[in-house]
Formats: sequence, C-alpha cells, structure tokens
Amino acid sequence: MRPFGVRSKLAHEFTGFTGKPKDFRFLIDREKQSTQYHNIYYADDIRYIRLKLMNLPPDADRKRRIPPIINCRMSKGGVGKTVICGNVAATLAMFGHRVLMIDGDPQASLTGLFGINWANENINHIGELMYRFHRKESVYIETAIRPIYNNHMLDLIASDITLANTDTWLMGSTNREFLFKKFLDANVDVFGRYDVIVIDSAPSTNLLTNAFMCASQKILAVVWLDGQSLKAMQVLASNVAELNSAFSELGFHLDVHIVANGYHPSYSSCKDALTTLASNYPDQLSDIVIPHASSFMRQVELYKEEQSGPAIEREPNSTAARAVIDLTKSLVKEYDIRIADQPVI
Amino acid sequence: MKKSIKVSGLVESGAISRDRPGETLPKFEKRQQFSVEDDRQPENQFLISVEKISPNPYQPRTVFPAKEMEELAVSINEIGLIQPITVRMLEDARFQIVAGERRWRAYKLLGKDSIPSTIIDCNDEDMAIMAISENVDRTDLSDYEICKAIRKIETLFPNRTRLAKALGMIREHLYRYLAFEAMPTFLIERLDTNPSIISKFTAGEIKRILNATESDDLEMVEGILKDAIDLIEAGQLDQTKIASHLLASLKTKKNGGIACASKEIFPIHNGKNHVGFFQISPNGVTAKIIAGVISRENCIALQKLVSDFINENST
Repeated sequence: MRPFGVRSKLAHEFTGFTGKPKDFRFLIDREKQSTQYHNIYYADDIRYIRLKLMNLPPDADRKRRIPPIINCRMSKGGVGKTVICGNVAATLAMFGHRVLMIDGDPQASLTGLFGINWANENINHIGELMYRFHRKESVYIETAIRPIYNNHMLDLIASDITLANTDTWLMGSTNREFLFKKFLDANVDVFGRYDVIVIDSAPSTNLLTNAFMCASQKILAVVWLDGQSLKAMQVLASNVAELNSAFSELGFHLDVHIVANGYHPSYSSCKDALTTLASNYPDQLSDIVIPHASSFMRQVELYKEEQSGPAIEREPNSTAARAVIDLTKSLVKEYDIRIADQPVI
Repeated sequence: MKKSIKVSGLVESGAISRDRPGETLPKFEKRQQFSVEDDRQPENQFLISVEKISPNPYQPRTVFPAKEMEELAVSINEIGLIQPITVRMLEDARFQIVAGERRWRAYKLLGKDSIPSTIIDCNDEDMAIMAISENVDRTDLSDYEICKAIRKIETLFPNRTRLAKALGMIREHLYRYLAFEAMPTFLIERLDTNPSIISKFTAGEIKRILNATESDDLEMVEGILKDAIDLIEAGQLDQTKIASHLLASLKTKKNGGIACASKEIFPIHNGKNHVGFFQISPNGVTAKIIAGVISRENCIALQKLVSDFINENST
C-alpha cells in the first residue's frame, strides 16, 4: 500500500471545492484534525468529499457492469505509454475514482513504476487469469489484484516476463480476439466495482494486444513527437482497420484518441511533428500536450526500487504533474468516467 | 499556478499550425452511424404453430432451469423476439428445432400460439453438428456434457477424423473430450451429478496416469483419485495440479514423502523487505533467498544446519 496523499491546494482542485478553505477540512471527519497544520488528503478522502458534495452517502456504489477502459496502446516502444498510463491511473484515483490498472506488457514496466520487483515476487498476471478462465478452471482474481492505494482506490494486476507466453496458447483458442472481453464479462462482479480500467499494452502487435483492443471502445494512442513515432501510426492504423473490418458485423468499432508526448519548445522537430498530428487528426488529438519534463525521468529508482512512483506522486507540483492532471481531466470527459455512476461535472 | 501546454495555445501563438497541406498520415475511420433497420421480412421466415414444433434430438443441453426460462419469457413478453428460431421441416408437416429451444420453451410458457421461425434445409449430420457447435463455445456447458453430446452423434460419421473436421476441431481436441470415457466408474457417477467437477484437460491427465500405472498399483491410484476429486470439489486442490498430486501421493504411500495437497509458500522477510520464500510442495522443499542478504559463511553454516537436521530427523 502506498501512502500517497496531497495537500489542501490540490485536494481543492481534485474535489472541485469552491467554498472557503477554512470549511474544507471539516468536510471530512477525522479524529486528529487540529493537531497538524497541513492536512494530507488520500484518494479515499477525496472520494468521500466528492460524494458528500454530491449529497450521496459515502458507500455509494455503481451498477455491476464493465466500466470504461482506457487502453494505452502504440505500435512503437519508448513513447511513454507506461508513464501516461501510471500517472493517469494514479491521478484518476486522486480524483476519487476507483481505478484498476492492468499491466499488459511482459516488460512489466508499469509494475516496476509502482515499486514492485517482479523478479522476487509471486505474480499472477492477466495472461494466467485468462488461461485459467479459458480452461474453465477456477480463477482467483482477488489474489491477483494488488492494492496500491487504500480502500481499492487504485489496484493493480501486475505482470512479469512470463506474460510473453500468452500468445502460445491464445493461438489455439476459439474466438481468441474476444477472450479478454469474455473474461471481463464473466467476472463483472469484480471488474464492475471499478469506475475505470486502465490497461498498459505492449508495443508489439500480437494476439494479447489485439484481445485488449477488442475489449476497448477507444484506445489511447501515445505519440512521441518525432518522425519515427509518426511512421508507427501506419502500423497502428492498419491494426485498428483490420480489427474494425473483421468484426464490424458484431457491431465492434474501435476509436482512437491521440496524446502527444515529449514536447520541447526548443526543438523545431517537435513543433513540426505536432503540426503534422494536428493537421491529420483534428478530431482525435487531445488538446493537452505532455511536455518533455525531467520529473518523468526521475520516476524509477534503480537501487531503492520501492521508492519508485509516478511523477504525480513524487513531484505533485511539477510541470509534469500539471500536464498529467489536465490530461486526466480531459480523459474523464472523453471516456465518460464517473464516480458511483454519477456524471462528473 | 503552472499551466499546461495545449495544442490550441500553440496554434494561437503561431508555434504550430493545424492546416499543413499534403504529407498525410493514415486516417482512423470513425464509428458509422447505424443505418435505419431494414424491416422487410426475409423470404424464408414464417410464423409456425408452437405445437407443430419439436425439440432437437441432438441437443446437448438437458437442463432448462425454470427461473431462467421465466426470465426469458418475461423479456420476450416485454420486447418481443429479437431473433427468430431456426427449424427444419420433417416429412409429416411437422418441424424440428435446429437452434432456439430456449426461446421456443419460453413461447410455450407465455401460452403463445405461434413463433417466428426461419426454415432451413438440414440433414441429420448438419443438425447434430449445429446443435453441438452452437454450444461448445459457450461457457455454461461443461466439457463432460460436450463429451456426452459428441458420443451421441459419433455413429453418424465414418471415422473420427471426419467427426473432428465437421465439428471444426483438431483431432487432439476431440480426443481430449473423449478422455472422459476412460474415467473410472465412480468418477463417471460423480460427473453425472456434477458435470463440471473436472475439465477435459484434467480428464486427459487422469487418463494418461491411469494408462501408465502398473496393474498392481491401480487400486491404490483409484483410491488416491477418489480423495483428490473430493479435494477438488471442496476447492482445496487445484485441478491443474492433479497429475503431480497423484504421482506425489502415490510416492508418499509407497515409500514416504511429504504429505501435502498443494504448494504452501511462506515468504521470508528481513525486517520490512521481502527477501525470498520457503516452499513445501508434494515434490519436496525449496528455499530461496536473494543475493546480498546473508554472507557466504552464513550460507555454509545454514547448509550444515540443514544437513545435520536431516541426519537427526530423517524418517
């Protein structure tokens, strides 16, 4: 469990509180309120306050159906999928949503970003759960889910290198593209608890990434602002077009939302690439651009790995965190993410 | 407060533009708006009297829970039948269901006279195949039920290769289903009451072990198997581990070993840090400690401690 909380200024922003700062701390009944000058607000506190501001009981829940899925996907590595994925997921939790992260990459970089060393832990990854489901065996999802923040505000299904084996058995299974979707639907009691599911996909185009895409309605394509990344859009576009044409009869259609990452004002190549993106994808490109910021590079600690964490946790007042918060706000609208089924204003 | 970089802001400041000509990247198609439903009736669709219809004799599903049928009837009553059932015509002007027995039963439950049906041409072979393949991929039919259904239609085909081809399975897959045939009588009886205790993969494993067992040990293995099935049903044994469990239990019974149903793992901590684990399984004991926690001298001492312990306590 990670003890991440924010001070009142960010807490005000996350809850959308507009009243007097003095009144804010009394929204939450805490025992030791007055002894500390600064209150720290955790994800579950923020949810509590938001529900209170909406005049809902603290245990307000959502209907058991599969929530919106943000699938971070790009057909090229190193563009910042994991960084965006981890930061957006943590920020969504800090906005008071219940979030489930699924690490869908055998490199397990999302797992590492949250300080989990997959080399010496016993990890039940998503491929294993799907395999057991496919073989009609009992699936222990609860043990595979690792709590990251208190009260299931942020949970993670971690991964390790053995996730790479998934394609070997997926190859021989019927309806393999929709196996992940079927798995979610069959366990709606577990997955329906969350307000949103965030998936970190691998860069390769394989059966597992296809299965993730077939369960999503809109992928979040992260594009690094250079020529190589723009070239990779070709691969992604043909991948998306192939799935769409293959399953259009089932009413399946995959949309794409694009986020530009790594903008640096002194590189003209960045501006050039962004111009190309903005001209080609006027409706799909997110207005928020993620800057090339050093906070993102300080996220992972090599020797004290348990101290690793997304930029929003480690440097919540940095430029990087600001971009992540604004991106998250736009994604809440884009993906219609709600709290306890209540539309968020 | 810090501000985010926005595409719109960059366009306004003139740093980038939105209308660069030429040089196009591949487009992503947008979701098509649904076209207005075509409400013409297809040519081969008719209203057929419920009484003139009989169920598919090859239907693998034998249980139709009353509650589910009521729910279906309620929903059909409210929104109507979305998809007509499929039937074939018999010689005596009666009809037989190819697909849609649940919908037909719900119609009867509602007391309706006739049901929208599509009539198709279909011989016995196709009929059997359709009934099974419609159900094979569904999660609510167990492997054992599928096996029974396959046995029912087997005689319609000259050989198993043709059968597998008609079912759209590879032959190995078909044989996996048929592995249930080789199960001992007590297990078949258990399966008849609870068809989902074991999957086809587990049945295959059991068959493999029974075949490899010498006739002297057969009774002992069946005894162990009986206990193992109880454990699986109680959720105490993972059915994927059945092969190793049977072999290990046999070894234990014959020459002693570690009696435990499945793996037990105890994490090892150094203060707060997780530094390794200690594991007991039917195959033996494993301990793993990551590098850098104990010195080489201590490793040797530990090894000696374990050796001495085994010398003093071995059975």
